[in-house]
Amino acid sequence: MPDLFPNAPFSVKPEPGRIEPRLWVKRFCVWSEPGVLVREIDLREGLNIIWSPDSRDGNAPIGHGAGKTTFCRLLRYCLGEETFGSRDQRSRIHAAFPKGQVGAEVVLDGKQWAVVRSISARTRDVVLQSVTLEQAQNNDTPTTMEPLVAAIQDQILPGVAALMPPNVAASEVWQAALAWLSRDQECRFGHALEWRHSTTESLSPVRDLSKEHTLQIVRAIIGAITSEELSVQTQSDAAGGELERKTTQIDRLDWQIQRAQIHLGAALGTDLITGIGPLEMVAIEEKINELFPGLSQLQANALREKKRKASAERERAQESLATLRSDLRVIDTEIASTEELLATYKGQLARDNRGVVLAEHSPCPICEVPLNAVLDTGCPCTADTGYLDEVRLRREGTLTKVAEFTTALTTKRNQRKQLIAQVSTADSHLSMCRGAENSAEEEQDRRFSASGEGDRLLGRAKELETLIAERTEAITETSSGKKLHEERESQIRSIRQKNEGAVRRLSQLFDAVIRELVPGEIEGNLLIDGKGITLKVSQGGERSTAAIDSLKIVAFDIAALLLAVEGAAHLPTFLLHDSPREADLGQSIYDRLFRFIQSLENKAHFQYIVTTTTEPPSDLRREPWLRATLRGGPAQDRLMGCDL
Amino acid sequence: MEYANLDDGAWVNRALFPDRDADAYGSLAAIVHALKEPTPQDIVRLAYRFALAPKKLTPLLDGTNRAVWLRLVGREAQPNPDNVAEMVAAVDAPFGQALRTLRSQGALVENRAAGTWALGTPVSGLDFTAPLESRARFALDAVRSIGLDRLMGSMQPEEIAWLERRLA
Repeated sequence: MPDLFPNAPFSVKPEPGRIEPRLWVKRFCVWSEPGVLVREIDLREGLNIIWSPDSRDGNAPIGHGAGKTTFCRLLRYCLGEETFGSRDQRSRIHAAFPKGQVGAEVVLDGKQWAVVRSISARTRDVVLQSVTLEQAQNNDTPTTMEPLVAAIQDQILPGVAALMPPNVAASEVWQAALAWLSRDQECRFGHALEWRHSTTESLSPVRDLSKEHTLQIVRAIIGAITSEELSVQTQSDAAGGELERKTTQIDRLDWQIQRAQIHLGAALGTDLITGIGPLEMVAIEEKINELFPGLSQLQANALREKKRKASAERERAQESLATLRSDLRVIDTEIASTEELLATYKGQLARDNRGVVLAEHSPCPICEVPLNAVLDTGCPCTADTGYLDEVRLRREGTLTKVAEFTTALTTKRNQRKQLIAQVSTADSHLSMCRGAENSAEEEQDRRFSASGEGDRLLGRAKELETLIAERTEAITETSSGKKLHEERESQIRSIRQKNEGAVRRLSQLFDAVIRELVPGEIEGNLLIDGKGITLKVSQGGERSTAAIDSLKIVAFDIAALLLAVEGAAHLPTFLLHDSPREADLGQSIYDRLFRFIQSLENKAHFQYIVTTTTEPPSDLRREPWLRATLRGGPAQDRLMGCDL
Repeated sequence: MEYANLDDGAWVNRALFPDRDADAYGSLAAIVHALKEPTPQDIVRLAYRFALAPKKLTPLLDGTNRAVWLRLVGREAQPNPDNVAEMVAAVDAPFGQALRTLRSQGALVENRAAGTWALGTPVSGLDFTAPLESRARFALDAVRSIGLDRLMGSMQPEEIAWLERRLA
């Protein structure tokens, strides 16, 4: 069936007055050391093909490993990227070319810049305007990349820094845009917002960005976001954050209110505390006072005094008992000591007695007449009776001592009996005092506890009242916060609608590119909102296969290039695609891509550099489009002219 | 005598001042007082020896009597450790004096031919229930109960030497 409403033929409206791309690379060189050229590739406006043929002969070198990706990395290094590969790649290149340099002649808004960068040390960067690479190479004073980067940012990306996400510094705006214009091949054209792959160890500012922030970069670059929107967005985010905090606060208050209600309800056994409305505080207070009577100051003092007196009485009884027990211990010790002395003196008395009897009856050692007989009749040998008197006197003394200790012992034993009785009485008294003290203490605790519980419950009820008031206030604030948030979101939608011209045009160009690349009835649609980019391709229904998904990304990039051609985006009219065919792009589409880009040469000023292993269409496999042919072998045919 | 009624240490010979002559006299007098018939002198001598050196008797007693002896006499009845040797006095003068006194008092009757001693006129003025006198009587009963022959077979050499000196 014929198409009643055929699509309009592809058209692009280049920015008036442009006679060349705003930014393009004119020449690319690699030197093994200053003055020793290893590779030189002249580039041009329009389509530039770097081809690395994949041989059909099984024994010939394959196209992979020829240096296409290294070329892309070194080229973007010359345009201001921080590094040109992973640490391992850089080490290998540095080992092969310890004094190596890479350079590019870059044309920015009609003025030529020569960039010469050291392969090994970044401090040796030289960037000069209006000179050739060779002249720049002879300059001994490093300049850093800053002059070129600053010029690109000032001329192509003016004011964009303010629209960038917070993680992208003002000095990194061009690097962020360059990441989009020169996607890592490792990202395999899988997502519109994936530009740098983690395995490449890039130091680009976009490497760790969220999709949301990467989207903000795209929107800033294509002019789909304004400072007004950003400002309102900030307000909306703040309002949204506050709304979320308030919602969390209300949830927390609900939980606290519920807990307080359960606790008070259980303690008071009343249905006074239900629902989340204003509390009948007077009724609650009355109920608490009824269940947990409070104490007057006088009552409290009387209770404390009673307890104090009982404690003092108990302490006195305790001291008295301790004294009596101590006395008892002393008397026990004295009794034991006296018993010991008495036993000793009794023993001594027995010995003295033996001595006296012995002395009385000891015979004279000479005549063997016993002393008593000597006393009665006289001894013919001696009349000395002094010894007998002495032992008798000693016995008398011992006898007195025995009597004395016996009396003392009897006295002490009597004292002990009395003390034992007193201890028993004091012990009973102490038990009684302890009982009185415990009961005074219990009474005090009970009455103070009831009073304290009442105070505590009252405090809890007041706390509940505060919680309910807080909740009411939070709900009011939430309501106004929600309104504010909705207003800001509505404002944002309105601003976006106002600014959607850029997105609409980008979508048109995306649709046009899709139609050019894919024959037949096909339609492309691009949608950008605050949440993401949606790329749709419909051909009798929406299509989403690996090939179509890669196509969408390639088309998205080319649409952005065309938008830049029209002067509607803060982008240079420059695009570098590293092996898009490797990302499952179909062969026929691939061929049409080359032809389409080539066809644009007559309509616009741009530079599109593409590396490929798959052979380009035969008519484009030559000058001026084919700029270099690299091979996996022999070594001199590789980009760096050697094995790395 | 019912020993169980006596307190621990009831036969401890405690006093303030030493008087070996008086103790020897009291012990021998108590033993002689307890003789019911003429008794070999060696029995009396050994009983005296054991009353004044109770630890010499302890190893010779049977279990029950040893426990009673140790309980009532106390530390004095504890035998010497195996590694302690004791010197025996060459002359026991207090025994000699006690024996002479008892003889002159007529309290001890000696049969030289039979080698026995017997109670003569009982000595008055002594307390035979005092600790030292009590344990002298216990020692006499123990020596009689064990028998002289058995004692000679189990006594330490120095004790036999002491006995053979016939010091009095």
